[in-house]
Amino acid sequence: MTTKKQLIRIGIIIVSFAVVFLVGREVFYARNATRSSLQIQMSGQDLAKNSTAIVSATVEKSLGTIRFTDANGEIMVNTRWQISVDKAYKGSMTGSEIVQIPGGRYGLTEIIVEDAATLAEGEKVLLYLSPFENSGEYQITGMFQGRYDAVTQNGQTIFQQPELKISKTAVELEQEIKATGV
Amino acid sequence: MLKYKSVFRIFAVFVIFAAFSNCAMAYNYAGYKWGGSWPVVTVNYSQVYVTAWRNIITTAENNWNGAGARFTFQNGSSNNNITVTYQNNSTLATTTIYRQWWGGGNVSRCTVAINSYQTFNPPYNGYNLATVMRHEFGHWLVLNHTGYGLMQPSLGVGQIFQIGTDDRNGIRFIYGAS
Repeated sequence: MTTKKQLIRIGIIIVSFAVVFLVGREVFYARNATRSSLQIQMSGQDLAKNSTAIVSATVEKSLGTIRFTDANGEIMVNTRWQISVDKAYKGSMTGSEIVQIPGGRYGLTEIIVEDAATLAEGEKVLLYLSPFENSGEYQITGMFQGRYDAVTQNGQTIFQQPELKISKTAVELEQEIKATGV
Repeated sequence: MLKYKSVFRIFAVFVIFAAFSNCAMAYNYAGYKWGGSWPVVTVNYSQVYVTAWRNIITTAENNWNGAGARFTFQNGSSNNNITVTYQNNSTLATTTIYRQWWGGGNVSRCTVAINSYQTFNPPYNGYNLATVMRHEFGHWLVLNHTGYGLMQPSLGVGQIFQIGTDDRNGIRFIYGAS
């Protein structure tokens, strides 16, 4: 066999092993898991106290998913969303920020998280946010409890939490935050 | 030529073995449960070091064992682990359900992580751990959250829920009545 043919053959073997390794590595992470978290019941004041930021925002776009090992040593997937802050009711957040929502698919890993807050492009929302670990990004406080739809009724902005059937105006929200003293 | 083939085969076996070890693949979500005509699920609480909590876990298992379905929890060594973590968030406990990729996607493993950042009763006047564990074992039985009752998605301080009629009907539907 000529040197050229040997080199081509070796190259094919190396590339094949690389493909098998990468596919095999992904197979190692292949899992379909469902997570259900029992949350503490949080009132509006509880949510306000436990959030570093409370903002009304427009959901801009999904930035895809990330996969990591969580504090329990389990493989976890989060979906990252970019939001554009319209108004900060607590904190001084402005511009665009990234919010991580538990759940999603990364490669062959799919994690379904029951009762996670959901975001969709173009939605107007009120979010109670707290820092997500040391990522510089945020998570929604209290899972579904910290996400409200922002709707306009008779020229007034109303925040509605569909699962808990709670609604409040911006004024009521500000009073609630003020009552917490933080 | 022969030398290349031998090396290739040995290396391929190694890579495939490394890739498939510890693999837990997936299946579709709908209609799954623990397999078998009467599943016996072994709960491993060896990483829960508080004796009172172990007793509460056992009591919660027995609550579900007495719910009239063809299903049994027992304690022992398994990878269905209950662990205690510490996370500064609003979670009381989290159940993770893993499923097989074959045979209808039955449940292959469940875990519960109790968040010790929260104050539980015992030993504090906090969230009722017995209710929390009954709730989490309800998830192990593949019951989802409901609007009110034991399987509601959030719990208040001091709230206590027992296994309700809907919960019993649910697991009897899934596993059959005993």
